[in-house]
Amino acid sequence: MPENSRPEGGIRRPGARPRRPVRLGPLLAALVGVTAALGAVVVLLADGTWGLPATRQLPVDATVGVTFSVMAAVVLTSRSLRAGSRALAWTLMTAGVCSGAAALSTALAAGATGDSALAGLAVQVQGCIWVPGFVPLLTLVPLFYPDGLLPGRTWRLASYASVLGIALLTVGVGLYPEPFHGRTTLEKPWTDLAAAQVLVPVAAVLLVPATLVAMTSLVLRLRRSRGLARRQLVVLLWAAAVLILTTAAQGVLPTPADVVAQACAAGLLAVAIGVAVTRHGLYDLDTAVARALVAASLAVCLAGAYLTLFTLLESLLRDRSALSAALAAGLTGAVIQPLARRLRTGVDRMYYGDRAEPFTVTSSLAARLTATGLDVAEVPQVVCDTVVEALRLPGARVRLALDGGPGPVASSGTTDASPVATFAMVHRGEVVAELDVWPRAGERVLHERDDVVLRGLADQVAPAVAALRLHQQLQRGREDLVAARESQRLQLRRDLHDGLGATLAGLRLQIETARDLSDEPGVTRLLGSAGDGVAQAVAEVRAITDGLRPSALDDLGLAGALAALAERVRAPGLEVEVDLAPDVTADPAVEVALHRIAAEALANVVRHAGASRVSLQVRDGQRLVELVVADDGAGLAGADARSAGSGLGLASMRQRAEEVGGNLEVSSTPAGTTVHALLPHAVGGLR
Amino acid sequence: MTSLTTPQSPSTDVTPRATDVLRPSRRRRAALAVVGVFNCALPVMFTLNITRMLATGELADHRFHQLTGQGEILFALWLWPILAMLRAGWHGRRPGSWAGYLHLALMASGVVCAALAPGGGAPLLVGLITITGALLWVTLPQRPLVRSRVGIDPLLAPLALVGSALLLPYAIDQVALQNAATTGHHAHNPHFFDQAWIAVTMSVVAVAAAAVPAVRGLVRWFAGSLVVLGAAGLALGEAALLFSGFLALGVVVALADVVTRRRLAAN
Repeated sequence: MPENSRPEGGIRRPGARPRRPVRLGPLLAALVGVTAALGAVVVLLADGTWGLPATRQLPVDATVGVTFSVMAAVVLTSRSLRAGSRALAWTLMTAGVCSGAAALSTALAAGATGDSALAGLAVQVQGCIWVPGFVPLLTLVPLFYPDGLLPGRTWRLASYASVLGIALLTVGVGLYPEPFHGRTTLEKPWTDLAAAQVLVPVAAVLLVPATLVAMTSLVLRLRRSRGLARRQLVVLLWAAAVLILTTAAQGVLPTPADVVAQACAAGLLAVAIGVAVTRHGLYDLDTAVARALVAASLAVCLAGAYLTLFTLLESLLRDRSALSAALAAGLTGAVIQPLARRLRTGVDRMYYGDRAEPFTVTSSLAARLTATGLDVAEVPQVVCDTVVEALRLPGARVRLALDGGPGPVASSGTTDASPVATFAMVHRGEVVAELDVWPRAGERVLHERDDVVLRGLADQVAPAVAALRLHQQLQRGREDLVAARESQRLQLRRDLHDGLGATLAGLRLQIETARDLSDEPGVTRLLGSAGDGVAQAVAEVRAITDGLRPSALDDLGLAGALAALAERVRAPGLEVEVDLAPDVTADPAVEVALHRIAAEALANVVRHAGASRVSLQVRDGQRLVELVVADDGAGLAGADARSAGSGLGLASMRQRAEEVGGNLEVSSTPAGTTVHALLPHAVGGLR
Repeated sequence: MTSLTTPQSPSTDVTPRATDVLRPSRRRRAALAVVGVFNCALPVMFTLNITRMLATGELADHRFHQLTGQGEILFALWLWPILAMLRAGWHGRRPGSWAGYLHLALMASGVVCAALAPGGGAPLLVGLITITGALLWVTLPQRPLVRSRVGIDPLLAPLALVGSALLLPYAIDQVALQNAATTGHHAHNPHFFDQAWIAVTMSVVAVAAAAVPAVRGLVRWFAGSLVVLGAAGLALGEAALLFSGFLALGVVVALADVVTRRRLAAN
């Protein structure tokens, strides 16, 4: 089991569902919607008014009343509900309750046999209540879906226009004097044609742009979203597409299939919204789809195989249908189990790559690892690539366990969120690295098969990663040594220069003074000899200090020392360009390495390149210092022809770069050579 | 930098690789050329002749068969794998498995259909095709790999079996019609045998494509053949229900192939 999916004590697993709280308000509201919808069906059955044109769409209203009310209650009682989603859920609840009310009022009005207060109220209500039951699905739901938040502040105008438009349209169509044709024709008790003629156009002016804006917001969200948010939108769009198709097929499908299809599609829309907003079902969606695909594929395969076998057998057995059918059924039955297994494997591979076949994954990894020329430093990247490609996981990362804590050394795919599982790579009882993996879209935890495969991969590559870790530890140790050495050299140089050098210089001055004051020729000769000896000692100390560290670095700083180097090679026929970052600084070891590399590269230009121009550039980056020495000479091949070189210079430069944790590349063409070094500012433990 | 070194285990894999190239000798190439002429002469001649008939409107009452079993579909299933195998053999390469499967499916289906409908010169034609085809396999420097891993595609397998459930009754019906209307010479028969032949071949190809990953690409031959067969049948007044089924299935198979390939590419 992955480490962070392991249950610990009373802590709830990350993937476990929270307990659903009980909230009375949403439940009561849903009860109203469901009761109204079911009551409409009861009234319709009791009155026997199924066949009337006025009740044709009642099943759709009733379905919306039940499904939207229930799904809204589910959403509102979800513990993982975000604050914004509450508004969306209440919009759904309003749609459900109003649709239930529309169904009930339609059923009551249709069954009424004469004018009565109840019949009048039912006609009045059914004439307008469909507006808040239906129009929000075109305006408010797309605007607020799926997280209850608008795409931006300016989109509020569309929501205000929508709410106002719905209210005006409800009142407007409610006041419109339109008779209701049920068992008897009934008139609305309250009508006002003039008011309706004003309110309805105003509502249309508000609602048409609001609808367009709402649909635009949905498109924008789809384009901008990724991962789970995109999945939420896709679920809604599929359900909406089904509803649009069934609505478009109303004139084609026979009755009552058309109404049933539309009612089912409306119910599917509610379920899709509820599932997507609560997001619980989305995590299982792939599994459900995969299982459905296996079942459907198996069913069609068996039907196809049966028909094929039956046809062949009937032809061979000369129309003995019963026997042919029995044989075909028997043969088909015999292949059910192996066929199902293979189809399941096929679907699994389609969704999850090769996780069903660990051997394939490990073979693939082994083939990559044994590829000719693969550097041990590339092993983590190969592991990440294999995990992402073979298991179709969105992201993988390898972190090497070093003294400073696990540091990422390779990653593949999307690794911007928290990983779902971490697998330790253990070699000789020690964790050498950790493999982090990210879940597929819609998954919260890894499947057992993924777990098995990833554990096997981690074990397989642990020795190679251990070698890499050892290599990195060695490199770090080497850098520490170099840093310490250069630091000691710097200190020694200062001590020699400021201590012994100054003392010898003072001694020499005293000897020379004493020699000048002495009248004795013998003493004068001896003092002269002593002065020469001291002068020689001073020169030797200077030579030693220069050997420890270029004196120009301390005297002129790094930029000045490099500029002096460049100046030193300037000669007739060789143009020198210098471009140095003025404030460039680095650790003493890095400064020495830069100076030595630049000196060697410039010396090579003078000795071998036959160049007419050389440029020296130093750029100071955030973590690295970049040194470039480029010339327009004959290139390495030409230089070899001109003057035999041992290649020790290039090797020396490369070694100096690597021992401080940098790298050096030399590119050469017949048009010139470029030495490019990238060195860190700090080395070893100073980093 | 340190290089990763892994001890090389003694190789136990003796399976020849598809990428191996064995440059053929002159004699081999000469043999390939002769066998190629034997194999291609008949289908090329038929293709040109039937295409000419289609272009000029000759024997217009045979147009459906000219477009499908007697003509274009048969030639596509027959000539294309031969050309692919000859080309690969000439260059010393191993022909693709798809070509081997398609060629074997065509020959085996022809043998079965000729056995069921022996009149009208079918056995002679199929015998000629089988013998020249066998010669081609013998002459090739490397034969196509036909032993491949089985991996059923969950989208294509049901479609292939639905296809076989549609095509085999049609083939049996065509065999019965052929047996009832034998004329003695293949060129003069009403070509029901040819229809049965391509139907059985398409069924075999579909099942192979759905079951063997190495020849998954054959599903495009299946889809294309179904679309041409269905469209030709509908356009030329054959049984509307059956041929609309062929056409619809062809389109669905093509879409399934696109979906499968896009999913693979996306991953």
